[in-house]
Amino acid sequence: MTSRDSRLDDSELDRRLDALTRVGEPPSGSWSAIERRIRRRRWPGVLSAGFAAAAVLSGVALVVSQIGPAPTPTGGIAETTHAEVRAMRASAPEMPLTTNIDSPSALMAAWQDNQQAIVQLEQALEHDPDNRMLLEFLTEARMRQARLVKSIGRNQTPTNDRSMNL
Amino acid sequence: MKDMEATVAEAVPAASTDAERVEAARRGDQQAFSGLYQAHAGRLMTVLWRLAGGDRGLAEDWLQDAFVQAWNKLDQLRDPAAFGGWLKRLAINIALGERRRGRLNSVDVEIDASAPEPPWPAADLDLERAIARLPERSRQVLVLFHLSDLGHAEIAELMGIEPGTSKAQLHRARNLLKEMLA
Repeated sequence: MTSRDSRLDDSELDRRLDALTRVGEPPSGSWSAIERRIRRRRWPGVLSAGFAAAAVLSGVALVVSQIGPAPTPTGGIAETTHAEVRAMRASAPEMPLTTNIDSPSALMAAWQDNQQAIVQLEQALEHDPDNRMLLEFLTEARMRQARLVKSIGRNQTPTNDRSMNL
Repeated sequence: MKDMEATVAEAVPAASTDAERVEAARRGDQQAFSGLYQAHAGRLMTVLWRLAGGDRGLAEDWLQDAFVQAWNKLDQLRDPAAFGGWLKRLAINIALGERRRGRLNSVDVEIDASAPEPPWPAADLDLERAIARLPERSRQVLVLFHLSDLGHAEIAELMGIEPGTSKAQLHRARNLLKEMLA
């Protein structure tokens, strides 16, 4: 019998390859190392989300002054929005708004963007409750939300039967 | 009337899907990302350990780099349900990229003949050791083809070679394995 004859045949090799372990235990120490690295890198992401939301809301604030037709929010958004309206109408300062917006969807998108930024900032603060910069961003985001909601309410008039029903 | 616990239990699925975890992780939820790690790290580690020629420390470095990259690039993932395949490509690119940058042993030099043992109960230790001793490029192609379920076109793209070269390297790897295991 030659050495070539004694070699495994292809089907036997395939069988053994197919039988190899495909899933092992995740390395025990790796997750904590990953967690440290992503925590360190995520803060800029969270902050930039805050900045992005701020930018979006600043842009929206410029065009929101005379709110045009808007759809009635439904489901969870409507309920959340009602809560925001109740909580913020009383406390928000006046915000002079000078331009007009005719797109209810843009208004809702702006509200949702800012709400998402608020959620992200709140989550970030859970991890780092003493971070003053995050606190300031959260305050600013809440104030923007309040101003946005208040301006919506101010533009609800009897003559505007398509006004946003918040 | 159903009690509250039953109602909540019906409303909340027992286990999150990859897509749900990805969406949550995109919002900064590290717990959800930890779930993705638990779901995929074990499978990925077997591929990376073999690509590393049995170097466990190197494989773990690649694994960590892959998950950190995934976290930072989650917004680029178009289909959250395809997280597993996307992560695998990230990890393989990291492993092959490090080889290409020349940080490790040169191509086709036999690595460590001291027969590394995999960090999991090995069903076929002789075969694991034989794979670890293959020349590097042949081992990479064999691992990607047989143990990562990639085709020659995809392997060629990942490795920056021609599909024909991938086939030739696989043929070479299989012949060497058959000799070593005879």
